[in-house]
Formats: sequence, C-alpha cells, structure tokens
Amino acid sequence: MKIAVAAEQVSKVYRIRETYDGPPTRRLLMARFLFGETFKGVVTVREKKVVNNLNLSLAEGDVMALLGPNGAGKSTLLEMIATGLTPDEGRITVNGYDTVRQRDQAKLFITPIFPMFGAQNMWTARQNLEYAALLHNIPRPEMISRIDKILSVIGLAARADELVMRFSTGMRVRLILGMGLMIDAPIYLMDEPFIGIDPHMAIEIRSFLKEQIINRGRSVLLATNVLEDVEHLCNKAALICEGRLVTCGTLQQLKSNLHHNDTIRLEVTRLNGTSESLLDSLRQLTETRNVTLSAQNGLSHFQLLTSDSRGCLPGIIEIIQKGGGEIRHVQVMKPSLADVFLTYTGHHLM
Amino acid sequence: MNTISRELGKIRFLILADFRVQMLFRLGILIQLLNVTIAAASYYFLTTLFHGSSEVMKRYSTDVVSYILLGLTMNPIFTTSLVGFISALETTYVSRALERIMMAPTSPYSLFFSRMANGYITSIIAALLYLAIGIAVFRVRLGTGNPLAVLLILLLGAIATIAVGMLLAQVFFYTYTGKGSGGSVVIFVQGFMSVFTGATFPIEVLPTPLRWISAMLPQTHAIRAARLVLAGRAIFDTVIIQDLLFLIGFCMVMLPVGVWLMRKGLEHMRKEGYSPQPRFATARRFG
Repeated sequence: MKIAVAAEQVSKVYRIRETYDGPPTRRLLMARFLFGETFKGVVTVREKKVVNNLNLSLAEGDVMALLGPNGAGKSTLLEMIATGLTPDEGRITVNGYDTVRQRDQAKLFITPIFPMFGAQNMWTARQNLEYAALLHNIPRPEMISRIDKILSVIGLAARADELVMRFSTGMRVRLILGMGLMIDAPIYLMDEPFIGIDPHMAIEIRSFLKEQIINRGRSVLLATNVLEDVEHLCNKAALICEGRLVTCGTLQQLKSNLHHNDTIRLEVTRLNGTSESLLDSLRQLTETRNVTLSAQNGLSHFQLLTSDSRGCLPGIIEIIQKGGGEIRHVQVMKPSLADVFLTYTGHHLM
Repeated sequence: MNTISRELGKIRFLILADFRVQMLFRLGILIQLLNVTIAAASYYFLTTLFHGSSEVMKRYSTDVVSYILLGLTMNPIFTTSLVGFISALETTYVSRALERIMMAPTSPYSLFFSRMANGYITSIIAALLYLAIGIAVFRVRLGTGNPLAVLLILLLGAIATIAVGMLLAQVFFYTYTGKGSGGSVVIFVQGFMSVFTGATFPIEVLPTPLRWISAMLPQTHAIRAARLVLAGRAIFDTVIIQDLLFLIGFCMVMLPVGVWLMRKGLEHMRKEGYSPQPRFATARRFG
C-alpha cells in the first residue's frame, strides 16, 4: 500500500522562556522598571524536546488517530507534516515529497484543518470558503461550483452571507470543516476538530466526516484525546506521550496486545459462606487473573481479568452454580483505548 | 506568469474583503476624514505664527503652509511603505492567518502586500483629502512642476522605503511576543519619520550631525526631489539627479537584502515555532 505520510526519526525542540524570583537588588528593580512588574528576576531558557525521535507512517486511505494527553506533541507533529514548522532532526515526506526540501510540492497534497486558526470572524461564511480555496489554488470555476455544494453539506446555505461572528460554536466548527472540504487534498490533517462542541453536535459532525471524507478514501491524521472520536472514526491509532511514539497499530491490535483482554464482572446471590472456596476455584482456572470478590447488600461481586472471556465464561458460570450461587448479572468489558494508553505509558489521557 | 496572476487574484480578494470589513465601520471612516481636516487646519493656524514664509522655504519656492501640507500629503505613503511589513506580520500573527498561510501553497507576500495595499489606499485617500482641503480652504500652492515626474519619484521612494520596511520587520521576527511589539515600533518610526525626513519641516534646520541621519533615509531624498520638481526645477537638476541616484542605488542594494532577510525571518519562525515568547532571552541572572 502506498505511504501517504512518513516521519523518520523526527525531533522538534522548543526553547521555553521561564522566569523565577530573584533577590530584590537595584539591578532587579531596574530590570522590573524596564520589563514590567511581572518580571521576577531570573530568566532562563530551557530546551524542551516536544517531538522526540518519532517514526510514523500513514498509508493511503488510513484514518489514524494521534492519541495523547495535552502537550504530548501531537499538534507540533501535525504542523511539521503540514510544513508550517521544520523538524530539527529527521525527515518527513508527504506523498514522497520532503516537507522541507520539496515544501511546495508537499503542500499540494495536504488539507490542514486546524480549528485553532479559526475562521475570519468579520467575513461571511462564503468569503471564508472562498479564502480557503484561493489559498490552495483551487481554480475559480471549480471553486464557485464547490462553494454552494459545501455550504449545503455543512448546513450553512441559509446563512452563507452572514458574518461568522454571529455563528454558534457548532456552526463555526462546521465552517472550518467546510474550509477543509474546499481544499480536499488527499491527506487530511486535523487537530482537535471537535473542540468546544456539545456531544450531540459531535455525533453529527462525526457522521459528516465519515460520509464526506473517510468514505471517499482520504487519508486522515486526527490529533485528539477524545476516545469516542477515535473509536468512531479511526482504523488505526498512534499513542504519543512526551513527544515519543509509544505504540502504533490498528485499534484491534492495540487492544489485543494488552496482557488482559477482557474484564468479567459477575453479580451473585445465595453464596452463604462458600465464597472463599469459590474464589480459589476461579483462580484455578487457566486464563484468569486478578480474581477479586466484594460483597454489598447481600450480593457478591466477582471481578476477574482474562484473555479469553468467551472460552472461560462457561467454566466460571459452572463453578459458581456448583457452589450454590445464583448469577444475577454478567458483564464482559473489552479493554478501552484508555486502558491501552494507561498500560503503555502509565499516564491517563487527560 | 500564471503564478503572478494567481497571486494577484489572492491580493485582490484580500483587499476587497478587508475593504468590506472597513465598510462595516463607516463611522470610523468619517472620523478619520474629520481627523485629516482638523490636522490640516491646526497646521495652517500654527504656521500663521511664522508669517507664512522663511529663507529656507525660498529654496523650495513655497511658503510654510504649502510646505507642511505637501509633506503631510506624501508622508502617509512612506509611512505605509516603512511599517507595512511589520504591521502586516503582527496582525496576521495575532489572528494566526500567518500560520495558516505558511501551510498553504500561497506566498506569504500576497498576505503582506494585500495588507499594505489597504494601507496605501487609506494613505492615498488621506493625501487627496489633504490636497483638496489645502487648496480649497487654505490656498496651498502646489507649484507648476510635472505631476507625472512627481508621482514617479514618489513611487521610487516608496519602493526604496519598502526595503527599509523589510529590515524593520526583522524586529518582529526576533522579538515577537504577541504583546504588540510591532505596534510600539510603528509608533516610534512614525515619530522618527516626522523629525528626520523633511516631511513637516526642511532638514536644513536640523543640526549638522542629525542631518547625516536624514541623508541615510530614502524618504528624505524622495520627498526633497518631489518638492523640487513640483516647485518647477528641471528633472536634470544636480540635486534632483543626486537624490534619484541615491534612491536607485538604495533599491538595488537594499531590496535584495530585504527580501533575503524576510526569507530568513520566515524560516526562523518555521524553526522556532509560533509561541508568543521573546526568542532572544538568554539564561541570565539579574541582581
């Protein structure tokens, strides 16, 4: 399969300026006079590697999530792929074109959707769409035919000539996605496209993205820390933490790579003193680990981890029934991406 | 050729879009017009104190009122040329339009020139207003020189000043803080220009060491040459030829330097990122 985006050992270092309280001397007072009252006394510049020796490849037609907590380096990586930033080390190619040495060619394949850049508030929706098309050299006849189509797709046809400053957050998000659709280059780079929208609108926009972008075979890199976006839209995920790629693969692969696949919870009644022996029997089962029991209001709650819930569930049920227990409820939980992230990095996503 | 016409199309779109935004604040435009009138009137009444003429003015075959109003007419065009890049950089940086354009197959210069074009349109409107008010109300004498030659001199002066503007833009590239550093520079430069370029008073009245500063500025030469041509001097007059040669030489040397520095500055942004913090700060202990 053809590679749409490849990052090879990419690093990016930012210089971060920090100030600390210094002793109140005459020179400090003079510095405060010049730089303002907020000047604390000591200025240091430290280097922070926001992307660290990262390798990544996105195949054509793949929808890959860049999953990581805030400050993980997702946006910086996307900006580097989009040619807005240059890597300090390593190399990025877009459709085979180097993003530094062949920047102009690489840009032609990219649709950047960075909601943080926003739309021009004092322009109309139509003007914003036209602006996006002009910036990306869409020929005028094509631009004109696309604008009306996209306005209706994003549900803003009736308000096309209204100033964006009067739009709600959801409408702005749709407009920004519409600006992306105007460009419609084969590789979509999206940085937190759902930020600031309510859950109902998120569902609507997810299905919109699926219809308008993903189902048309576009390659997508989606930076987010919202797991629902990933589960609904992506077939692959790359886990990034502190600038490093922790792991990468299909969602199924990532989940199955965990030592425990599933968590089984059982709610049992009428155990009457046999719970300890039941626990021992359950622990004897192969494929089960971390078997625990808690009791509340006459109900016993068993929880155990297994790599094969389908295979061991009949055995579990049999042991409990033999022990006189009556199963009231069984719950089998597949591992979530949050579990995957926690297992690989030791950090929570948010 | 195709690329140029495409970029010109983008500039046209941006100019019109900005113009529409300005039209949303029509009251602001009216207030600006009023400001021009008040400025012209205040200079007129101020100059009546000096009885309208002086020895220095005779060199320009004019009186003080005409001298100042003509300077006020030309000054905004040079100010736009000088601060156009740094102002455009700052406004597009704050609105994040610069970041967006750095990722698009569009030259950032299209963005800068469209912003500057709006500045020029405003400057030209202000210039025409100064002239109209000056001639109609305050009986300003423009002179009998060739207006086309004056326009060409102003154009050459504006191009030379754009080169200085590119140098000035480096202040933004290496200090951007998102706190209006460009704005402070613009205010400083406007004050500096009013003293050293001969726009509002002849540089002959400055002390000799300060005249050296004036002589280094392309605006001084453009404004002087334009004034002398307008006063009826021949274009081949020694002083005018010297001024024109200075401007041509300045353009030939400084424009490539300016373009090179702008390219380095944009690459610097790509390397350092767009976070608002001073890049020159070094680890240093005060006190």
